[in-house]
Amino acid sequence: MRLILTFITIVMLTAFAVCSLVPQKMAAQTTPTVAQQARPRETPFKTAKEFDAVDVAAIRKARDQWISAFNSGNAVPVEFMFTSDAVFSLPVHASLPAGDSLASAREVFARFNARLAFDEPSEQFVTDGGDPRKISKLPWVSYYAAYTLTLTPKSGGDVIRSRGQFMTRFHRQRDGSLKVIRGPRVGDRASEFTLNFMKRDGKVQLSSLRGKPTVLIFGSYT
Amino acid sequence: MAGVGDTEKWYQSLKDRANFLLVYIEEAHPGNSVNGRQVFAHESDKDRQELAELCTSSRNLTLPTLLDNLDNAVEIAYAAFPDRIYVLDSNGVVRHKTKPGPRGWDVAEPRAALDQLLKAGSAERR
Repeated sequence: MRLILTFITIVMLTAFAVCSLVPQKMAAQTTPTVAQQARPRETPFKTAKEFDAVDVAAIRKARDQWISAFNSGNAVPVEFMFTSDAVFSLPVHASLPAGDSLASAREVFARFNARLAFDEPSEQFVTDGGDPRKISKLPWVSYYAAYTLTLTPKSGGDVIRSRGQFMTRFHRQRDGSLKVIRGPRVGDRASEFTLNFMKRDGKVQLSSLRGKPTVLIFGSYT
Repeated sequence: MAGVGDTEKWYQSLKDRANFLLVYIEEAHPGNSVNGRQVFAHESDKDRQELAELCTSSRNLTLPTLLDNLDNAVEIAYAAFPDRIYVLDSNGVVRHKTKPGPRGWDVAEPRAALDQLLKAGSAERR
């Protein structure tokens, strides 16, 4: 009898040991490394609920300021809030020349009564590395939302309506406010920089290239 | 990056008369797949370098390529996201600036601006 009990005990202990080992082995295969855990790979697009409420409020305030500026039909506050980018070129692409925002805004407001609105439920936010918690520390955020733009010609004619997805890049200012970023305009001296070559075999300082025209092409793989 | 093939041809045709620099900045569409590989936001200098090398080699780009720093300071200074071209004259003054890509520009516009600069430069030397 004792022999049988000993045998059963050994079998049970062995079974327990095997059962204990299997999950550990599986866990060892599936648990990410520390490095992987520290650098989560995820989509950078976040909804408002995934951002800090204070930051969302600040971004919406900046957005509302320039929508208000745009809808006022006055180019000056538009110039103050944002510059050159595609907001003016999207809906009336064929009929407006490329140029800085002030010229484009003046032309739009001279020719049209313009109304712009965003669909807040569609909005998404992107900041560096896909970590929404970083937004308070970082100087920029990209804001995506569906927009509706209506341009009513002042001189009569067909109303132009445009709908789509729009991206705005806000840059945090020294006073903490957010404004759409501005690059150097035609006629400005290009901002100085010193950057490494891709192979890290040297650096170049932009101003050292003077004497010949220079073409700067910005882009990425995606 | 829109129009990369044209960009390379442009560089090859005028590289002796003008400086060309490709500035590799943050990914425009992190999370997207390119050539079967999912590309994420750069989290280190090594990430940025690796993707810049992949981008230029897979598209046969031989332009001198610079890496913006991870703080994206140069991209922000030039409002360059997601892609954009600037043409500077020989004194470093901006003479042409495209709209942001990918559909805001093609190489024809900055190319014409550069041709005009080179023509004016040739006329001055005469």
